[in-house]
Amino acid sequence: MDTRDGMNSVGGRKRMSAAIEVEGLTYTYPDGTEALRGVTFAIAEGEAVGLVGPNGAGKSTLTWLLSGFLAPAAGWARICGLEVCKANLAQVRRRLGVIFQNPDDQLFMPTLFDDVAFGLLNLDHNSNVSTGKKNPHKRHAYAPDIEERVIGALRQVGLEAERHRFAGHLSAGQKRLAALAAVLAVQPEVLVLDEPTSDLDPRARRRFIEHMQTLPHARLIASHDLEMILDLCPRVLMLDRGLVAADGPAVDILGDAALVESHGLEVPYSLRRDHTHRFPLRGSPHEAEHRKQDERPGSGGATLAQP
Amino acid sequence: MHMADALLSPAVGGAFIAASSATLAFSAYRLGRQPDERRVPLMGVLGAFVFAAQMINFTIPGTGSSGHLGGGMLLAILLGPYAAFLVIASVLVVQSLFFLDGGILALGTNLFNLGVWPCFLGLLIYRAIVGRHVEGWRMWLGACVAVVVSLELGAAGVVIQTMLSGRTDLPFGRFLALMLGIHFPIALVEGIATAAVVQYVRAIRPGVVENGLGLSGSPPMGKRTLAPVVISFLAVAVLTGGVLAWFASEHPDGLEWAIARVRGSEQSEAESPVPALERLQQKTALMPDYDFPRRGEDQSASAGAADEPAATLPVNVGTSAAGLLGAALTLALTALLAVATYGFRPRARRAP
Amino acid sequence: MTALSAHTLDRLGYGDTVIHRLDPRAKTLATLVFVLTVVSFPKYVVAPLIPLALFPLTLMILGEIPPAAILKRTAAVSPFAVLVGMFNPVFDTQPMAQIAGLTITGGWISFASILVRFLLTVSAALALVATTSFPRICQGLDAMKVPRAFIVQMLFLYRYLFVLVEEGTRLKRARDLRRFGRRRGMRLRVAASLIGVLFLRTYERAERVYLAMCARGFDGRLRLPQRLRFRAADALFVVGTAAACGLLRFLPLVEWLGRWAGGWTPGTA
Repeated sequence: MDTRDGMNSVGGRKRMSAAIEVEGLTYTYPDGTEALRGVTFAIAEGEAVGLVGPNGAGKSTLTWLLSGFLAPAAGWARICGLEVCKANLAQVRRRLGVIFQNPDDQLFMPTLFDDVAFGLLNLDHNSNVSTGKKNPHKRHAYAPDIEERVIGALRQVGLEAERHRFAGHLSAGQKRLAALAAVLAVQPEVLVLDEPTSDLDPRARRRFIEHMQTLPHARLIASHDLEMILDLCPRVLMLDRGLVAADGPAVDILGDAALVESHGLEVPYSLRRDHTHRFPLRGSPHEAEHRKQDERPGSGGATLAQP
Repeated sequence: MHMADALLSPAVGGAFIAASSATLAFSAYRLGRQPDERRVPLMGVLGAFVFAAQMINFTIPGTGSSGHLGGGMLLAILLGPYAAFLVIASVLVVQSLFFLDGGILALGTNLFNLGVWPCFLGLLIYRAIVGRHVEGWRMWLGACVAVVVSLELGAAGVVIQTMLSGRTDLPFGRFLALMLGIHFPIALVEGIATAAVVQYVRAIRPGVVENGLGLSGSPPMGKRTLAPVVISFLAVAVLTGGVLAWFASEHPDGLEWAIARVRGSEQSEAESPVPALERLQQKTALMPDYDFPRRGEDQSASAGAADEPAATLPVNVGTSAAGLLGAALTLALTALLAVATYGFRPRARRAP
Repeated sequence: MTALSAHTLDRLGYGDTVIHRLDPRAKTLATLVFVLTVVSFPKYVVAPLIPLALFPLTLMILGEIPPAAILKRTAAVSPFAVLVGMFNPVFDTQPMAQIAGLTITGGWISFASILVRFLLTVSAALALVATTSFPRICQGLDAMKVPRAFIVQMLFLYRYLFVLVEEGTRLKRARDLRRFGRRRGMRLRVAASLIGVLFLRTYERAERVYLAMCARGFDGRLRLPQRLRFRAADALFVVGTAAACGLLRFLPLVEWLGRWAGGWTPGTA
């Protein structure tokens, strides 16, 4: 596997193995739509990459292929060195955390606790499945530390106090964070997020971004929210009509008006007036907020927040 | 037509809980034998769908009134008998708790009336009529006949259960005619609506209906070997419910009866129930103008006497007057307790 | 009964009071005992039923359930039982008692009895669900060995109940905005296609939920964390309820109280 240049620029650590590797990935839907046509890229451990592109570019298809819900027509994808295929599916899904577009689809258990515990119980079961034969009538007794791990995961996103609440009673922002907690609880190495901020109000969106910035995982974030991508991802991968249209530093790609507009996107507002400054509104009433943002590591340029 | 707790006797309620629990356990067992992971979320979400579908009401042609889909037959057609039965059961539990339709004890009867008939018998009828062709008039006819039969059987079940419980004085024949009459147009509309939805879904997503939503556990449409299973199973269910309920009918109040036997005496004879049929005979035998004045005297004379013949005066007046006063006092005490508790608690209640 | 009011009822279940903290099994059992007691009274009994209201009332008071919420809901219910009971006075005209010169027929007494039973059983169910969140009820049923497939079914149904009802309302509203003056209800064909749309959306949602479950290691068996503890307080609650129900059922306590009070106010009894 050749290592791509993108990786070397990331972080100050020694050369890392790739968290996600994709080579010539191709997928055609049964109705003939060519969703992906030979996509190739790699994401290093701990690297955050934004996946952008117009509607129908193949972003969702790519995330579905990565999580093994679809099988590629050609090419392959690897998660932490494991090829995504039927035989490896359980292993791959242990390492890969997927945040779905609609948290109502993802938080399927009634209470937060049960939802976060869901993945853990499966994990727990699968890790000692070899110890005895399956008894369908046996009530599953869970490892005593599961409660701690669930509460720990919820504490991480600040929802510890809500653990016995009904998922349907949470706000959209809380649902997102809960989905994140449910995924983080099983300690994945790679995160794939599909439109994580689509239905959030500004404050909830801000909170979500702040949480994302504290995470050490390799991340692939598919979104139309280019400002969020700028905040979270030093590197951007642009898809259009199933092909990689651009791959490189986020500020360069998203700031390139000709490139961005030829692929049905628009230059994010914060990059419009001045390519070198992330926040052109300095001095406006919003200044304080922006300065705060500026002081956070990883919010500007190509350096990545490392824990 | 949810049966309510208030109309049930413990024996009838218990008998049907037993019958329905057995059906539930059997359905769960059968589903477990053909595991399909995709079914887990699908069944759950379809249960919620029933509630959502009931929000959409439509005009009943010709009457100007409006109705909504019940959903039982639709689920049976789409999911097959066992999965549909579990879904309907869960819907009924939620209805009894959140929407106060029916009651906790009445769950058994409701599940029997609204679940067993459409899921097992109704589906059998539907499949027999429709065969392999899920389209055209056969589908419409199949859905209508299946819904009418299962809904009417359910309505008849309500009547029988109520009569066996002996809480109502409606004559059996009239009650039955009334319920069957009311439910016929309802069932017809439900059948038409079910067929219309099936047809729509087929048009938009062909294959979904024929393949039982693409689940491995639910068999595709058409003639099946299901019939003997369903019929024998149905017979067992009916027998269980019927036999137990028959026992109940002889002793409309099973608990009372059992207690009396245990004690060896009819201690609470002033309140002792008379079996429904016997009471009916009694009513026709006694003259309506049956002497009031004497009873008025009785009332003042024997206020404390509890041993009045039950045949002439089922309720001892003195007893009931004292009873009413006592009840009023109890309620007043309770109200006082409530006021005191609410009055002294700080208003800031923990918000859920 | 709208879904909206079901929503408020549902929220109450997540409170935190003495009653909320009781084991769901204890509350379910006690409620069942209570309902059985209520329906076990003979047909022509009214007064001895009334003190049984103590059970739902105690639950609601200790469970800090706003009384208005309960009263409104109990009154708003459209009871099949009341409709059926209404015929009792018509068919049962046997005189049974005379109070203040009025002759009361058996039909009226049994009708009153049905009404009281109805209020008692309905308010008990309300008290149960207002003091126990639905997932807790399911946990209790699970611990009582109800088939797991059914528990899972109820959990999913409950989780998506409000989500889908909202979706149904949206569809209906979108249609209502374009109906231009037609009165309530819609043509069957329109309704059928709306329900069809709703069904397909539901079906697609189920697919997405399934994928989300797979993404977190779902292998066909749903494992639920078991964390109920049946404590002494729970046992006490069940035994206490059963004892109270038994006393009220088999001893004419109310009558004694009435006689005792009647002794103080001459002329009543």
